[in-house]
Amino acid sequence: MNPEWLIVAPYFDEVTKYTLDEAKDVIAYLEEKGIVYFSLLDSEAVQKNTEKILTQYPNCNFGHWNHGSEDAVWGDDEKAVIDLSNVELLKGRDCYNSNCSSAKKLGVEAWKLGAVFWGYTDLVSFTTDAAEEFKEAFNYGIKRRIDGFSWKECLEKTKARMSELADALVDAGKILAGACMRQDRDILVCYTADSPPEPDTSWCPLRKLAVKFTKSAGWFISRKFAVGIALQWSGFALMVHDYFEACELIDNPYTIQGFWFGLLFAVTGFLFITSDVVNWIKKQMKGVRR
Amino acid sequence: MSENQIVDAIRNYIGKQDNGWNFVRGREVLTKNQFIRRLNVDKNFRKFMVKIVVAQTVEILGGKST
Repeated sequence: MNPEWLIVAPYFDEVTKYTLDEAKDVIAYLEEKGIVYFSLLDSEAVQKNTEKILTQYPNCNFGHWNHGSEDAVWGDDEKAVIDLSNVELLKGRDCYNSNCSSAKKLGVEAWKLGAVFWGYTDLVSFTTDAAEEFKEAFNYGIKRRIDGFSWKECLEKTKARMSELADALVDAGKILAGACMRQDRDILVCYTADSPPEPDTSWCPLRKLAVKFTKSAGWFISRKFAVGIALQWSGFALMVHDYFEACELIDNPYTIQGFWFGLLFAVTGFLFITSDVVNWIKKQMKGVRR
Repeated sequence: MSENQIVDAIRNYIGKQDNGWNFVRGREVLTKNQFIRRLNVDKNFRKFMVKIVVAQTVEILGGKST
């Protein structure tokens, strides 16, 4: 029988004691609903095993409960189970990440490959006097998804529930727990086809501008394409400037001057852009979203 | 109210927690004594704690949670 979810939950330090407990809570819910799953817990949760299952079952969704960083999610041997070198494995899957920061870069790359990516854009925090409340909050989204809600509804319901839990914690005198719950709520994201990453997710000011003006397409513009455009138009500007300023004043226009540099920039820029577009077309023909 | 007054209030609050109380952020687990020490010496940590406490207060005052 094909599994619907792969649950990956290493255990090797004090924090992962809590994340393993959270993963087991989700496993119990999957069993209660009769959903087929695979689990890689504790020492089984390593890259080799994860890659084997994801390769064998292309329709299996991916869930991870452990440490994360901006460009990776971690395994029991403290090596990444998924990072930017094998993120292709997440192509087209639903990915539920109860870990820190992975939505910042890994999530964007997975989304560009057609994945749904649920995760956090910064470090997750909690206090141990509210462990049960935080477990409920961190697992709320996947349980609503199992119940049949859309990812958009799951995100809305989870954020609303986290607000309710935060209020209840404050009422109970657990002030810092409430503050952490609100902070975790605010860094929780879910990237889907209809809900792309926000411009601020990127560190690059040019990328932020591109996403702001072109929406989702801005995430797919490569640096080569942007440099090509810049070179091409710098070249045109140099050519026009030198034509009006210098070419009409000299006897031999074929000496070294700005006009020819401008032409070189424009041609180089054109080649960059064309190369990038051709590569994109080739990938489209292979059915991969860049 | 100054940032120092907010930090004092956080320090007092943490001081009243049980000995088993821990704060977890990312890979770090801090006992209440470690938390207070960190609050005293780490500027970025102090700023983060003040930020989330103030944000919660503003949200509660604004009635935005529920």
